[in-house]
Amino acid sequence: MKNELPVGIGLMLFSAALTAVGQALWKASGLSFSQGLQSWQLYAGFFCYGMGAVVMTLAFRFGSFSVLHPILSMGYVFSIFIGVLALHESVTVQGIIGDVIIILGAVFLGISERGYRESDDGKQEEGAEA
Amino acid sequence: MNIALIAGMTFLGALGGFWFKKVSRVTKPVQKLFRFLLGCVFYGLAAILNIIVLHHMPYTIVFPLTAITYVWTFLLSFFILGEKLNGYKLAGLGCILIGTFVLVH
Repeated sequence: MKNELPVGIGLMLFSAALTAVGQALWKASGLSFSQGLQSWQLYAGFFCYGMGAVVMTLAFRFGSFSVLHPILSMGYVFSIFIGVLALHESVTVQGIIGDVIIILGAVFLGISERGYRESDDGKQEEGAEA
Repeated sequence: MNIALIAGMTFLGALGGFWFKKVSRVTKPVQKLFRFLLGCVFYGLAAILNIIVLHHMPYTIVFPLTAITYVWTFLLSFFILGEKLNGYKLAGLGCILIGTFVLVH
């Protein structure tokens, strides 16, 4: 039986990157909400966020919710890079340490079901509600 | 008020993900679409709340606080989806919460 979890993790990382870009675009859309409604960044942000949701849905085919969903937090790591590169925010030592701890968390999640085959994946609820 | 906003935003975000996950548990396209759209509603509401919160609080504080989403994720996974939690998963969640806290302090 092949292990499909790496596919799910890869897709979640892509989803996290899209979400981080979307949130950075919202941040760039201005400080007041009315101002934001007139900026292209707000809508581009929604597009990225929406694509992030689509990619996340695809990712969930390849692993359990409790493993894959928290990996979206890798978006925080990406957001530090975006903040520095695009929004010209400064990076602190705490920022780097926090990022390393988050990456460690993602690694723990990634190995949490190793050798464990009886997860919910593939379990269908045909005929169930909705 | 900010705490209620953050709690509501994170719970909606987790509910969105929950319904995206439920897409993979059915095979009929109509069911998949229904669940995906339901997820989009919750995820979209979370996103709108996120934008509102971002206009009141700094990006560097709001973004890490959204990690509370994954506490809701674990509760939904365990109690509704019947997924098993183990030490590695809890360690992973703990690292994510600590990491995001360190990020802003």
